Amino acid sequence: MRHALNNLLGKIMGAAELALDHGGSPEVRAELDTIIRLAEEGGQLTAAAGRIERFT
Amino acid sequence: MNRKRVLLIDDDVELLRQMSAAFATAGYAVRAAPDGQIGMARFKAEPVELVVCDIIMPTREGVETILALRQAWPELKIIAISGGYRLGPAIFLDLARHVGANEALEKPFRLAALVAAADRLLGAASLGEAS
Repeated sequence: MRHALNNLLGKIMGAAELALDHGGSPEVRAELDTIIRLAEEGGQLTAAAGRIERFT
Repeated sequence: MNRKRVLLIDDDVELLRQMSAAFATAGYAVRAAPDGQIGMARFKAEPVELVVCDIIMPTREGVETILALRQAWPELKIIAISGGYRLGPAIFLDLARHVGANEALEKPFRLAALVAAADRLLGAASLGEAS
């Protein structure tokens, strides 16, 4: 499950990064930055969930 | 000018496409393979300076692939990538380092971080050759 979630978050982040390479308005770029940041936070959550899982 | 060559090995077609695009934009000549078995065949047919290899794959998984690459080509630069499995990515990536990966990145990672790691490894290799 965590593996699938990490892969999914990585691809969401990657798509946003590639979209940033194509320019766009400042508003669009800000939203893409937000997507990247939220996906990174998702990755931190899955890592934290994994650490908890190992101790339970 | 010779372009740096990278072989990307991952069973996730979408991630493979994204990594290919990021490396191509950074000026790399890119080859891709959907598993370790095909990756090894492509490497033998057309060697590259850098291999990026996923760990959990259906046909010839990443640790075995990295071990085989490292044994046959000691100078090759290798980056392992993984989203983990039941045990989490860190354990697999530690194992990948142990069998010869130069760098290891946990998924999810930024494409920019992957390309930066590649540049760092190949930059260091170029400096080593020049000295």
